[in-house]
Amino acid sequence: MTGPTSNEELRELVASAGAPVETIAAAAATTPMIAFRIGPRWFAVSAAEVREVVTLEAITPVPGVAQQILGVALVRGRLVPILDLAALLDCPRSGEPAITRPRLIVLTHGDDEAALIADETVGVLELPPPVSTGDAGLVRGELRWSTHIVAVLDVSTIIHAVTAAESRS
Amino acid sequence: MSVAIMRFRAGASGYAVAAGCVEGVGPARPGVPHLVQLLDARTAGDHPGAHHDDSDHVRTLRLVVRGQRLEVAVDGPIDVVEIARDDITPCRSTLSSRILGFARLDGDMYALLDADNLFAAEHAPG
Repeated sequence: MTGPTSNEELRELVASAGAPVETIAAAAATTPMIAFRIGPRWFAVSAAEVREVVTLEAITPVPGVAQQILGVALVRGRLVPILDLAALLDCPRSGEPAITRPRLIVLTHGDDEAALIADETVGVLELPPPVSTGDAGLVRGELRWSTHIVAVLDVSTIIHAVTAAESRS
Repeated sequence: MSVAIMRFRAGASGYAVAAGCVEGVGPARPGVPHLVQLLDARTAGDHPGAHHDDSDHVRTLRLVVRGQRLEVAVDGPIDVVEIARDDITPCRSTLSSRILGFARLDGDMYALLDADNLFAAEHAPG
């Protein structure tokens, strides 16, 4: 047994064990995804396209932008546009109220990023590929997780919706 | 390489911190923030003492990092174990600046707290 270890030593140990998650995912034929709830509906996005999940602090409204953009939020020094996914998908806002403060899921695609507001997140899950619903657009397909039907979102389409809305404004 | 960690619970989740950051462990004291509150990690069934019928298992950790001291309440049982690289669960990102990574010990998953950022959490506004 070694003596007491410092935070830096623990950080080094974790870093040294950082095998790529893709290797594990390929072997299991599943994909790491972040699942989250907006109102009564569950969604998931590829974890590879999630920059971070943070507690929602404040949204600064931006006059003149498209209706589906709620505003911008400051995330680690960056201003990230916030997309109103519930409005975009015509998702009812009723459902189990959030127990925690709402979460901001920061999505990234290339150099662009955008964020969604979720009532609840459940972290990284290894989920099977979604079954296509035949609908092109924001939803790539659906899968079953636990007792929920989860809509898997297409992050590139979401971010394109934001950048398109920004360019129109 | 292996490091000693102190592991404990906070609500429904297991956590650990580098053992060298722990100056002492004491009984529960009023006014000391619980780790669940500090991390804003409350989820369904995730509240202080969620695994226990009473608060007898709540302990106060005295953490010291770079000369700064922080007291935080956690749920027991508390023990010190040594972890090696193989105990760490690889992940692309922990998605939280307060978590260094995750270790699987005795079948349970423990979030490895970044003590530096716990202090930031304690001093964050709101």
